[in-house]
Amino acid sequence: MSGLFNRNQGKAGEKQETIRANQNAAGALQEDIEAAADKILSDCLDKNIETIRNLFKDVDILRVKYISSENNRKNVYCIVYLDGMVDPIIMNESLIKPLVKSPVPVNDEDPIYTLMTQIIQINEMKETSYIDEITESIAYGDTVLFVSGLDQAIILNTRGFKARAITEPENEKNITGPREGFTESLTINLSMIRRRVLSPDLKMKAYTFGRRTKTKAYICYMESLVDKKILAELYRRLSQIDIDAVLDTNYITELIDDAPWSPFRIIGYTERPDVVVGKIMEGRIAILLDGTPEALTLPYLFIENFQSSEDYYLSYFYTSFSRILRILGFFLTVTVPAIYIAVIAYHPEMMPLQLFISIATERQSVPLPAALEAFVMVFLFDILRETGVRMPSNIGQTLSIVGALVIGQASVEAKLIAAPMIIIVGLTGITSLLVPKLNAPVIYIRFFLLMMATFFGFFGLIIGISAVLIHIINLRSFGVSQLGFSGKFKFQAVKDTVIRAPWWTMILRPIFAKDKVRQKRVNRQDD
Amino acid sequence: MIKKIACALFSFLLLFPLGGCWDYRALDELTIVTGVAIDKNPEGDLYQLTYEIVDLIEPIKETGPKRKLVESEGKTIFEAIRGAKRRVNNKLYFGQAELIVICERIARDGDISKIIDFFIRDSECRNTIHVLVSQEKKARDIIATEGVGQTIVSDEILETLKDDRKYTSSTLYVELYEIFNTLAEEGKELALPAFHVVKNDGKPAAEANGTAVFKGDKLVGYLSPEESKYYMFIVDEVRGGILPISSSSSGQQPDISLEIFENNTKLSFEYKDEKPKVKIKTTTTVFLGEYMRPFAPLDEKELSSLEETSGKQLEERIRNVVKKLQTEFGSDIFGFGKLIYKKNPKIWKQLKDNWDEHFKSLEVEVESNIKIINTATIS
Repeated sequence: MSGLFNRNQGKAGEKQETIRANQNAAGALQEDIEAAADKILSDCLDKNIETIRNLFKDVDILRVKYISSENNRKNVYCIVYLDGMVDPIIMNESLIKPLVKSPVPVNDEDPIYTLMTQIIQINEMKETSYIDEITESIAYGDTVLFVSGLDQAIILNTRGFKARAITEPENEKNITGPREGFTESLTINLSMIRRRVLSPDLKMKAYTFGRRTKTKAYICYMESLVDKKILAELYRRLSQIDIDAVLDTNYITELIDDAPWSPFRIIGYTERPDVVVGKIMEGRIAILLDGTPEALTLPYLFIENFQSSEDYYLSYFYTSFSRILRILGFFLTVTVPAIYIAVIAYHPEMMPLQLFISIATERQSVPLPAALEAFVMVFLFDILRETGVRMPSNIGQTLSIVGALVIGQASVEAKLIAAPMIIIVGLTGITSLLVPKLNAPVIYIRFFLLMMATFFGFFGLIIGISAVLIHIINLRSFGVSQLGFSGKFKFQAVKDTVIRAPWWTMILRPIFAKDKVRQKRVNRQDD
Repeated sequence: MIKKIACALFSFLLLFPLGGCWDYRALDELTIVTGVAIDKNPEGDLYQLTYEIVDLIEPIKETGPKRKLVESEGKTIFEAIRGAKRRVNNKLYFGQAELIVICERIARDGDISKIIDFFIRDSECRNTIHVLVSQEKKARDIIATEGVGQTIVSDEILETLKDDRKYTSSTLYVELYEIFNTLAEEGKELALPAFHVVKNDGKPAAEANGTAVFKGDKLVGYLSPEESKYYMFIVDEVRGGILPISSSSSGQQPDISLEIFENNTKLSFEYKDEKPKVKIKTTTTVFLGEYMRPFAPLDEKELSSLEETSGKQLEERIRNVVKKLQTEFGSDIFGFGKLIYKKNPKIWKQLKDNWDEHFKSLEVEVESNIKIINTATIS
């Protein structure tokens, strides 16, 4: 590793060496871990503790404590855990106290059995003799109990770290409906889902991501609803992941994406347990990852970009309207600057005379050509938006003053920017907020269409829109067409798209569900 | 993958030739023309064009858009239009032009098709541009007037033309491509709106003044606004307007105003004993909008007798207009010839060589039905 310090000398050969050295070091560590995986405990307590200490070398929060029983002095126990990850009350009351005080004699023939059934008062425990299992459990907040003279150890659930409280999700706020959102704790998240579906049909399969981080994850689905092919495909793709660290669900999204070069989302994400349950109940699969408050849902249809959980909690008259607004918002936010440029630069005869005169007047004595102005202003809006996300919240006022007053008003008054452009950018910006789930593709499509309109007018704009549509039509999410075309028009295929049909008409589930029938058709006329 | 990217890039390059002659044009490099008046110099060898342009120099926020006039001359229309660039910093832009005013002299000389050729051919001009005939000395006088409701005169004239069918039915609504079609086809002569200048509030203002009647390319005369209305009954262009009727059958000063709600005209054609005969049948639904007499309630009987007398009066007036066209102008602006051609091409073949004579002696039968559906807010 000393090669690192030579970097300043700047010779290419040495750099190469440094990299190689690093790779070697990494390889060695990897070998260590792999070698440890096969190891089995020995029957010597001190040797075992030494092994664990070596594996957790330089991990100074490792705690090793020897205990011996009051009644049976010859039995020496040793508990190993990580400081701050265990609940001290459980440790003291349910583990150490019974071990020390228990009057139950420890049977020499099967001491582990006695300990597990009669002495230790902890709900979840497991017997093991594999070192890799032990190290993983310690890292996860479990306590491992070693007994002298035995080549087995007991993994005890003493997990007790602090998690953020359940709060309303910031990014998916609702007026009505449940207000709880996922936290970073996997167990709490799972409980929020489990509580909503009491049927054992809801499966939760454990999975581990990250060669080094060993991040826990759960794959949740309804056994009777999920398409087994999609599930198998998911497992196939997951098995190909070989990344060493997974810190957020987005790592997984990108690693198992159908169309990795597309800016569109192929896998959904949500912070709301009610949304996850809703999607599971439509035959989708959810992936929950430890340490992130966002769950993944798949397959993901394009229309889900416009759906919100609230659509199902409010009257369908209202929510159908807001659906239409969102879809319109998406269309406007990508096309408005392009349409403006196409009209004023290529087809000014399209405008009514009065509008034409007022835009032409505003365009007089403005330095930049309209197209360049549009690029600058759209880019400027993106800068403002990004600033709004990154800056500390207490200087938000400064931003709005600078953004709205200086850039908006002053630049128009100083005749740097034409006033219609400010309106266009304002409309673009506001409508983009209607579809937060499409924020990435929207930026690129907007610039793409703007470019097409700048060079080819409406003709280019239409070509550009066609190209985007062709791309969207070609998108697949785990083999399911994102637009869900079936060739024939059926009401059940569009009941939950542009409009949100009333619940009593939602007879069928989406196309990819195994069991299609959601509810029996009820004749409501007889009531 | 490389093949795919190459394909995408290649098809992107194809877009450049596909765009045709479209090009990026900045709005501030255009001089917006809203109307153009076409005159000839006294010697008759130069076209004098007057353009009404939107004045973008003055701030429009408080005062609304202002206009200016620009003039240029040339041996051809196109030469004159490009010649204006010598005076104005920006090229004239005709995409928003709404009006072409032609002076009476050009119309009488039979130059109308020569003049409209450029506007039809040019890609920038709309084919829905309106052409009208100035009854003043020069066409320029029409667009040199001051607008009453708007500062841009061309725009005001356009609005006048657009709404005319609905409120007054005093002049035609003709678009450029229709002129082109009428001039090219047989069996129908051209009729265009005519405008003159009146004094309004002490200032000159343009006013619609009936119809200019053409024969071939040549202007042969005018119909008054009143006559134009009955002409429009025949060609089924009436959408509204007032029908003044006198209550007594002797036909003195009208005292009743019928507001036209709906009109439907059917033309039919018969050929008997080697003689063509055209039947005009109008069915008009009207409101009784005004009855200038001491108040007395109207009963059903009175109304039905009114329907009868007004029908007769309308028949009479339509007949007069047809007679005027047959005797005075000899121009088939109704399209009777076209009607015959459509109904029976064989007969049209026999008649068309001598259609002028046939039209003059054409027997025309008029039948008008008027239905009064209400009497406004008093009975």
